[in-house]
Amino acid sequence: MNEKANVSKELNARHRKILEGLLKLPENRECADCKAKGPRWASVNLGIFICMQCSGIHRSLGVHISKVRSATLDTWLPEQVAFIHSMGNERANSYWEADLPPNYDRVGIENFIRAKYEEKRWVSKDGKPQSPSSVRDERSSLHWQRPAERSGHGHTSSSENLFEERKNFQVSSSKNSAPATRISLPVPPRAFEQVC
Amino acid sequence: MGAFASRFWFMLFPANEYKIVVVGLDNAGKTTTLYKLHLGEVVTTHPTVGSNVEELVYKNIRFEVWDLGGQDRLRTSWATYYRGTHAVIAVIDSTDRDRISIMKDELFMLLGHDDLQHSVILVFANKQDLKDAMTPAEITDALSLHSIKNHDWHIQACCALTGDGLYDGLGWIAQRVPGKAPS
Repeated sequence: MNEKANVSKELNARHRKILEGLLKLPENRECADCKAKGPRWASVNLGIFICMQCSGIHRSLGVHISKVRSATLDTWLPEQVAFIHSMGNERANSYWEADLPPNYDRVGIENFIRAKYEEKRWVSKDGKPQSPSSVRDERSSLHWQRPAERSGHGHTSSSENLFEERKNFQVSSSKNSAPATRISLPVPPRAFEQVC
Repeated sequence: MGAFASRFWFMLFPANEYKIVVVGLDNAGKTTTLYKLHLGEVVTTHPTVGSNVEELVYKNIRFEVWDLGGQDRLRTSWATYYRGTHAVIAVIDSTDRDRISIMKDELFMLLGHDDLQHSVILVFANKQDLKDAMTPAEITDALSLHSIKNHDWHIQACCALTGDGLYDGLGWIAQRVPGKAPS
């Protein structure tokens, strides 16, 4: 079954808008891996935005580690949009780069990316969650990651923008019966249980 | 019958150069396949936005090979490359089980295109070096290749990184065009 066939033009346009919004957030204005400005690609299962250069490397890792999509050229599934919305570069790196020495030299970006996601070299050994930005945490856990619990009415939301996005997502979930749990991190870190 | 028709078509209209378009979902290995065949080496690729084109010579037959971008919105432009195409190579990421059904839809859409009625179809089951890769038999089922009636088709297991299987696939195409074209 082709789930993407269920993503209507309107929904796709809304997704694009949401993604554009996410790309404007300060944390997503640079590549999650090499820090290049203005990333336009993403790893949908890691929930990060990356530059084209790094997307090439991510693609070579295999889809069991990273699924690369273009933020502008691909059709996204609602749960993919929801997941990257709840994750983002900052939160993802607080897990993947927890033990990364400050000012680490990222020359040889391919080796860096392989060490980061394949070897999980800088994932915190004690498994303690890093405290993600509270705002993003709230957004994600309240509105995005639990479609099953969402009812079709009466949420209060702190901003109009957020309400707009949430509404969009509901529309999408009614058209697409795919469960939101289809996205999996390679190894679901404990710190992220609330968003997976 | 379709197979016979396309061979007959090529006999009637031999070309100096045979045109191949390489299609497939993003990250299937289209660009890696093209450059492994062209240069014999593995290039570091980035997502192809647009297309790459190279000329290959194999068994004295010249092929013009178009490698097309696989992202959703680029797929809609594939059809603009179809005219005059002798063979379509569909590259499959054999580990990407989630999206094989999308590839099936894309494949049957292109099979219905007027400009491809005389084309032969080669399916590369790429990334066979990875564990958990679907076998060619599984992919044949998942893509419903047996329901293709009007095109000659073939599936070939391969690994674009090592080059295994690539020339077997190209050889299959070479057998289906009428040898070296008159100059």
